[in-house]
Amino acid sequence: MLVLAAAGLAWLDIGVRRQFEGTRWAIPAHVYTRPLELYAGLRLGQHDFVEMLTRLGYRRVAVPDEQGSFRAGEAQVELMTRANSYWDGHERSRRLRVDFHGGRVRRITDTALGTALPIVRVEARLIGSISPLHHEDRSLVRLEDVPQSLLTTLMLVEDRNFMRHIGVDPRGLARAVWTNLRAGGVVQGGSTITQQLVKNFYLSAERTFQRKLKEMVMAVLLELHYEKHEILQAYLNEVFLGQAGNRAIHGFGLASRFYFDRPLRELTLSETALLVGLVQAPSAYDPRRHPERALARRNVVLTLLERHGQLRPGELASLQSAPLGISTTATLATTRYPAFVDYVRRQLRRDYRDDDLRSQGLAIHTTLDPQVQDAAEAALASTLSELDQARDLAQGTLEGAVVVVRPNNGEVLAMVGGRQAGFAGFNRALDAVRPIGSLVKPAVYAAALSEPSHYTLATLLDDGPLRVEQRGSPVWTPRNYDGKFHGEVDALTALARSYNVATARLGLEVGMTNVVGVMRRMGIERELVPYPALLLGAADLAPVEVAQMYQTLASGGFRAPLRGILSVLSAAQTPLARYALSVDQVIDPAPMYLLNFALQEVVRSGTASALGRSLSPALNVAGKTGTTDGYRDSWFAGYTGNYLAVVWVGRDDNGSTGLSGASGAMRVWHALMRRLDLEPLAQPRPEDIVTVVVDLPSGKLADDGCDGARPLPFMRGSAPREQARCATLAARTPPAPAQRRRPSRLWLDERNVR
Amino acid sequence: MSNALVAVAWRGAPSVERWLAAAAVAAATLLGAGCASTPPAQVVERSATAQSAETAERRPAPEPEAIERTPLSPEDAAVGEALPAGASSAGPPVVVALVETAEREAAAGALENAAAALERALAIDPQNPSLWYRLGELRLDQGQPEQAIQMASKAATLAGDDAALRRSSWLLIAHGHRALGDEASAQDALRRADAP
Repeated sequence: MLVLAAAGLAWLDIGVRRQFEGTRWAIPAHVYTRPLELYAGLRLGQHDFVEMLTRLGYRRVAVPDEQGSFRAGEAQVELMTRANSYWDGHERSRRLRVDFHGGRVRRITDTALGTALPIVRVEARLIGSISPLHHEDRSLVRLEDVPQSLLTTLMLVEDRNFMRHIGVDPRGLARAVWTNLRAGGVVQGGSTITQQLVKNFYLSAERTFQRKLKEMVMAVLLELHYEKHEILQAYLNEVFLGQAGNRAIHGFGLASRFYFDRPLRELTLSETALLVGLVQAPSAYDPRRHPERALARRNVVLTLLERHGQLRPGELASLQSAPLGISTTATLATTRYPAFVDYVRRQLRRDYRDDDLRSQGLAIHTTLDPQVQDAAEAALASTLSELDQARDLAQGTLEGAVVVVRPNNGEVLAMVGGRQAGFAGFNRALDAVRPIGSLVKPAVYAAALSEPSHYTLATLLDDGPLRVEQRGSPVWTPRNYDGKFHGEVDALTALARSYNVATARLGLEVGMTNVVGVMRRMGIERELVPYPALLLGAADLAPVEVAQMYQTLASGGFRAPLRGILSVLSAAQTPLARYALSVDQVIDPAPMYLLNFALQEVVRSGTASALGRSLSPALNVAGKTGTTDGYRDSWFAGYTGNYLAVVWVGRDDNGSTGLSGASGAMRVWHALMRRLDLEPLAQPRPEDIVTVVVDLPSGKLADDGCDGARPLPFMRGSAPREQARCATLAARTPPAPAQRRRPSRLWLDERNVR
Repeated sequence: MSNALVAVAWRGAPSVERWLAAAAVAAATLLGAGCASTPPAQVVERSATAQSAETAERRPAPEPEAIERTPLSPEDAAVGEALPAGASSAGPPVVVALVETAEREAAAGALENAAAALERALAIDPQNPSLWYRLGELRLDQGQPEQAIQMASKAATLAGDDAALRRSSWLLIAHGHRALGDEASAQDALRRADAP
């Protein structure tokens, strides 16, 4: 009998310790957006600022004298920021007044000091948690981060002898019974905090004497093995406090976000009282479903606080008359940006060992810009709905992905993995690996334009029928989208109008090795098969990889590795690692200048001219459309001076969308850019670039009689020398190639180009 | 805040029961123990996993107060409104302020903090060649000549009509190549620096 009891005890002991250890070290890494850099001159209106503060959980109050509160006046916002740590230092909490004028920040004043600030980082918003051990985010808290008022209230209501008892507390039980009898209902619980923790480990709710006994034994065992503060911290993170759909709300940290959309440390005393009151019966007191019961329960707790001298005289009445303060907009923010958080998780996994990620409570500061992200989500969802309706497609079969990057530094500002952006699932931005179609063409022209003695924008290319015989494969006969051949056509027009045959021939001339080399330098790491079909986009890439390619172009040939993470801090806010900016010049300035000129021509007069008509020409937008066989994939990649966005639209079953790059993805791109403040794409002109007026149809120097004369950039020494005589001779003489085209370089020995 | 409120209540409540006092003391002790492990807000310590050797030292984080030493008059702020980003090498007041932060960090030997401040400025004013140039200088000082060359190349392509900056950029590129032991490329860059 004794042996059996000892064995049982040992078994319980192992069980309770395993449970406890399992929960103890699982504080996940928190992921934050980039902070808002607020400075005089920033384009930001008062209304938008107020909306951002609201999103950050700032409360609108009469006098903003608590962290995370604000007051909106006319063309002005007063606020008290929350303290925040960043890699390069700490931004303390400040009282600020921000004045607005003409849709911009006019002035920022630290009202406590009475001085103007040139720049201040307002706040990084928590967008999710990454836990290598658990999938579930519990918004875990450390004991030192828990407000004293919560601990006091909790012990007062649930377990007054917690700091002294050994896991069970007969006196507390007796007192609870007595109090409840006197109150004529359940006011206080009878179990100690330790017992409740044990009960939470074993989720069964059976109320048997045997179970109660087991619970008491385990509580004592727990107390033997662990310190009070360890047990208290585990309890604070483990206690059941409500239900969100099929998800249980465990712990005060998560409950604070779920009910109030604010961190625990910012709760008022009445809000704290409500949370503590919920412990006893979270569903019966559910403040959303039973607000009147919740209010009564909260007021019971407040009365208890008053009776034990925790309130100032007269304070009880004002606290009891306060509304519940339940947030109507609170979501469990962990899933707000699942695609981006997924990206961050993968970058961390790539760069760190699992053991490093297991350290508790890392703070991950990311590049995410919530405004851009929201704009990208809205643009994708609304445009795809319009396309559904316009094309009579089955609702919801169209899918898409968006990646937005800051051109010069490779920071990923936004990432959307599907039209229902808030739902975690197939992350198309990273995992929809699809043929990129004509998006590959800039690599072909970059390779060609890097040889100025052979190719310029005015070089005439042959867009006549092409047959490529490949041993062991069917003959390759590329065709144009319009089904026509265009004869001799200048390189600028061939790229702007996305002519396949001319581009294929050009790519074969410059050589597959060169084209693949350019793609590598643009940042494509995936294996590329150097078959001719690659020249027309038979390369399967994910949107994020395409974004890397186009980042290189958008920054003038300087590849900057795409980054989702800025820095990593420890739980104690100690900087651990920084993802510094690094760039690599992989395309020379002159050919890059010519290529960007041609990609701007795509928007001015080419396949993206619909954009050119709706966006200001002064923005000098550059871009490229992409469409794949059978209209399965619709792509657009384009950039202004401050944003690069890549959009893919297609179907998960790889069926036809009936959309070209311009009629699908480009519309999403446009809907996105319309929501952002755009800066023009300013290309600094390299010293060795000159402008020469040419007659494009002949590829020769234009004279006064040429109708189609236009100024084009050339690398010095590469411009045509021969005069076109448009008015007189051009009509009678067939245009001759303006330049010596380089002899075809056979891409593989046994293959022929005809 | 509720925290402060309860503390006040405690001071003004002599009739607190014994058990509550005990709980409060214990809780305060726990909190105190927690606080003791948190470094003071103004001192930031780097762990050895930081990117370079210099970051492993202990050093002050940028002082928020320091930014306030360069107060902007309302007129200055108004100038900031009118200036489009990147209009000049100096840039709008916000960029000037961040460059000053960077210089202060660099003078204190906190080169990576200085780089971080310049990167913040670049996020606001990405086409400003002076920022790229200065970042290149920092990278050279940090023993990263490859990145010094790259940053300086970026500065050179953005320099436009600023002949002095373009020349400096090519000189920095030359320094970088020399640091890498590539004398031929260094000579080439020196020639570009002196080209008209």
